[in-house]
Amino acid sequence: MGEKAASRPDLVAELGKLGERDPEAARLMGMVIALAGEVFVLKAQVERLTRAVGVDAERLAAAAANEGMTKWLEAEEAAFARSLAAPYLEPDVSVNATRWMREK
Amino acid sequence: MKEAPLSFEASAFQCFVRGLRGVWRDEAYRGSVEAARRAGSDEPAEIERKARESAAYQLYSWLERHSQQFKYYGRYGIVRWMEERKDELAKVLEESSKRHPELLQLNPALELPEYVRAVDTHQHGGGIWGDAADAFAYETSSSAYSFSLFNPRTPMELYAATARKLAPQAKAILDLGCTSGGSTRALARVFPGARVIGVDVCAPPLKLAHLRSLEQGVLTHFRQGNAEKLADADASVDLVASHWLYHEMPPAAVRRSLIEARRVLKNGGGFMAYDMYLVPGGAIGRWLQAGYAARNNEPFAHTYAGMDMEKELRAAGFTDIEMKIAHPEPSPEVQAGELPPHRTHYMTMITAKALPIAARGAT
Repeated sequence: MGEKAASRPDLVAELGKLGERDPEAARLMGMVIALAGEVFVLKAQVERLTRAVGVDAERLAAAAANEGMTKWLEAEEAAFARSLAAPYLEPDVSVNATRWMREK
Repeated sequence: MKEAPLSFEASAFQCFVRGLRGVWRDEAYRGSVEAARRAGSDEPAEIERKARESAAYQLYSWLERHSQQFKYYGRYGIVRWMEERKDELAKVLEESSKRHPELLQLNPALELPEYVRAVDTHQHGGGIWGDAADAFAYETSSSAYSFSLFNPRTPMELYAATARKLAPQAKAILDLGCTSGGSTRALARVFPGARVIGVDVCAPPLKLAHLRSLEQGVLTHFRQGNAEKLADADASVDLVASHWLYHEMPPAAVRRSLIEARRVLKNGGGFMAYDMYLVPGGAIGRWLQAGYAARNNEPFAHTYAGMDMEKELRAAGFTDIEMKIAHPEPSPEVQAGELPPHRTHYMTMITAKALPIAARGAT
């Protein structure tokens, strides 16, 4: 406690409720979100590159700071996180139809 | 030096974390509130016991705990980014500390309270007291976006305007818990003839505060000191203000700080505290706030909200006590005690006047 990152404690499972009964679920969630973070950054880099293809660093920086890029990030930060959370909040989109298999 | 020297990738990563916070603030919050209402209890502990079965509350809790860790320690997290540049940042602060050294008073012998050293406040490993990287990380983090996604800078104008109204003739002002000095500079701008001193227990943020003041041409004083034991003489100050301070202190320390504020204030001097205190939404609001305090390592956000500040201020020698939710502007429903449609950390402005010492025995 109160130390630098190198000596941080193990998962404090009871605080993130997801891991309270199954700490592995919390760890897995962490991996998924970390991966999603990488994907998000990659998407941002691609978007930037698309706007600046074939140009020098100055144009790249200008593209990163331009209004269109800012608007894209604002729109994407909300849409991306929501799409990510959807399988957790709405894990199935169709009903369980197996009872129809018992039809005579 | 740029205010938030993050790379494009680090800035994009913070957008991603803000997106996670959006889910926490909206969908996961609303699902958690529904689960809490189904619990049908007025006891936060009972609400907690029943709501933990809810998937929405599990996601809400996980995001509350871990989105902050991503913000700080993810691949492009703010603390990680600053720590990689620790030596460069330390050099910047050491150099700026040599300019106008009369404005920066550090005290290497000052012992930091255990509640500062041991809590990892905001899940920042080691807190903001360790080194230059910690100070820059806190500044960048706190000026970027708060947990509820409002811009934490906006209230500086409100803070300064309240001070101006409370003590319009103030010449000697203390700004307690000033960290990197944004609140101190806001006061200095509206009290151009006054001696405004930002006080903080941690040296690195004070050095950063000094750098920012030099950059912005606002000649404020900064002093390393503990709000529980100020270096000022009795009845020497016109206004004691604080900005996001008391929710970082345990109740006994808050009480000592109030008594100390009264000691240094002149009779009739102004006291103001801008912090998370009033929590709307009844038992569910208190349950959410307690969860936040636990999960984001802000344990004293819970204890401070539980204090009877009117009683404490009266006991310390204050009168004309007023408190109201000041930011974000609460809707009529929230003012009536209902929960907001999004998870919102409301800030409370408490103001008071120092009761003349002679009159205290009569109350």
